[in-house]
Amino acid sequence: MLRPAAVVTSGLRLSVQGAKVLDGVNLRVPVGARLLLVSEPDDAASALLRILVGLLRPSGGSFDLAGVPRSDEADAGWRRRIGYVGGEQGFYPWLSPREILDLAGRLADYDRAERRRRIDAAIEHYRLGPGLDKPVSRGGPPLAQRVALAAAMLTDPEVLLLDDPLRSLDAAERLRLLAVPGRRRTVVLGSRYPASEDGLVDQVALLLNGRLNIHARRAELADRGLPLTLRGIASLAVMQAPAVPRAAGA
Amino acid sequence: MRRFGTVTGLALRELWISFRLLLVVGVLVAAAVPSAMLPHTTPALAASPLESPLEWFAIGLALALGVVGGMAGAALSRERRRGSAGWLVIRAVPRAVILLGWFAAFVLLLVAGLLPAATLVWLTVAAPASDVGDAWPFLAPMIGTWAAGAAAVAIGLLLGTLLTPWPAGLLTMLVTAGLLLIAVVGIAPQLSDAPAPAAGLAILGDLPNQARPVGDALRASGSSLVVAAVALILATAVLGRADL
Repeated sequence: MLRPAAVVTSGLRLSVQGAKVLDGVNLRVPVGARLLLVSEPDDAASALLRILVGLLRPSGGSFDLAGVPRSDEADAGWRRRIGYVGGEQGFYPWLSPREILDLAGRLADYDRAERRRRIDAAIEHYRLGPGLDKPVSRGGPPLAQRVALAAAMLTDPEVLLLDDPLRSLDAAERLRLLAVPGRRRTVVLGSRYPASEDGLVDQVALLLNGRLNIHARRAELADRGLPLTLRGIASLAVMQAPAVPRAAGA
Repeated sequence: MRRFGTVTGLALRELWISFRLLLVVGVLVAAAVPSAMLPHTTPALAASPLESPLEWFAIGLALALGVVGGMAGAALSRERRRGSAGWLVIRAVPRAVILLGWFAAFVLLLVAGLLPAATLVWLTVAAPASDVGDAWPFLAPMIGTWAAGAAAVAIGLLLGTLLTPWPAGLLTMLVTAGLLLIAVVGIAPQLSDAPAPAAGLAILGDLPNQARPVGDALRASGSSLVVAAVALILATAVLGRADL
C-alpha cells in the first residue's frame, strides 16, 4: 500500500540569473522516511530545502508539506509541524541559547509551562548546559549548531528539513543528535558529504543538473555493493535506468 | 499583535546591542546643539546668513533624519542577509510583521531622539522669542518633522528590501536628506509648501515668518505619513517576493 506523503513537489523550478538550479523536480517523500538528498551542483539540494521552508521563491511548480500546500499565511499550528536547520543559523548572536529556545517556543504559541518543559528537555538532550545564559556567539559554531537543531526540534515537528547540519560537531555526537526518534517523523537531509550520513537515512535521492535523477531505497545501494557517495548513487541511477521507464521529457 | 511586539522588541534590542540605538538618538540630539548653543556662545555664528537658529535646527534635523533613514535601510537589508528574517519567517512570523516591527522600532527611536532635541531648542531658542505659554507653533512643526522622519525610515526599509546594506543605507541617506535639505533651504518651493511631506521641517526652519504654522505643519505631517504608508506597502510587496 502506498504510504501517505509528507513532502510532495510537482514540477518545481528555480532559476537564478538565468541558470536553472531546479528544473521540474517531482519528488514524493513518504511519511516516516529518512531521505538523503544530494545534488550536483551542490546548491540544488540546499535550494530545494529552502524553497520547501519558504525562504526561496520557486520560479514554477508547486509543493505540499505535511499534507498542506505551503503558504505564507499558514498559521503557527501548521508551521510548528515543520522544522528546518540551514547552513546559517539566522538567530541573533547576542541571544543566549535559553532565550533562543524561549523565543522559538513563544512563536510556536506555547504557554510558559509548556515552554519550560520543552526547553528543559532540549537543554538536557542537546547538552546546552555550559553557556546556556551567555550569548550564543561565545560558544562558537558548535554551540550555535546545537541550538539551531534544538530550536527546530522544540516543536516536535512532523517534517524535519536539514541542510548539511552540525558540521562543526564530531562525527559520533553529530550522529547521536541527527538520529532523531519518531516513526512518523519525516527527515529530509541535504548533504554535501553523503558518506557521513550512513546510518541516518533509509532513502537516497540525487538531483543532477536540476532534475531528479534517482530516488531509491538506501538498501538498493547496499544490495549492489555501492557506497553511499554521490558517485555511488549516480551509479545506481545508471544501473536502474534501463529498467525504469521514463516519461517523455523526464 | 504578539508577534509584532516580539519583532519590535528584538529590533530595539538589536539596535541597542550594536550601539545603533544610541547613534540614532545621538544624531537627533546633536542636530539641536548648534542652534541651541552656538549663537549664544559664538557671536560670529549668530550673524551668519541663516535667518534664525531654528533654520540651523531644521538643517541639522534634515541631515539627522537622512542618517536615521539610512540606518533603517541598512538594518533591514542586514536582517535579510544574516538570516534573522528567515529564522522568524520559518516560525510563522509574516514578512509584513517583520517589516512593521522594524518600522515601529525606528519610529519609537525618532520620538526618543526628537523629544530631547526639541526640548533643548525650545528652552534656548523658541521660548524666549515667543509667548512661552503657546508652544503649539513650535510643537506642530516638530510633529511634522517626526512624520517626515517616519517617511524617511519607510523609504529606507523599502530600499533595504531591494539592496545590500551599504547601498541601501547610503542611497536612503542621500535621497531623504537631500529632499529634506532642499525643502528647508527653499531651493524647491513646492517641497516647502504646506502639504508637501518635507514641509514640516521647512516650517520649523522659517517659523518666525509663518502665518499658519500649526495648520500647515499638521497638513504636512499627514502627507508625510501617506508617503510612509505608500513606501511600507511597496516594501511589503517587495519583501513578500524576496529570497530570505
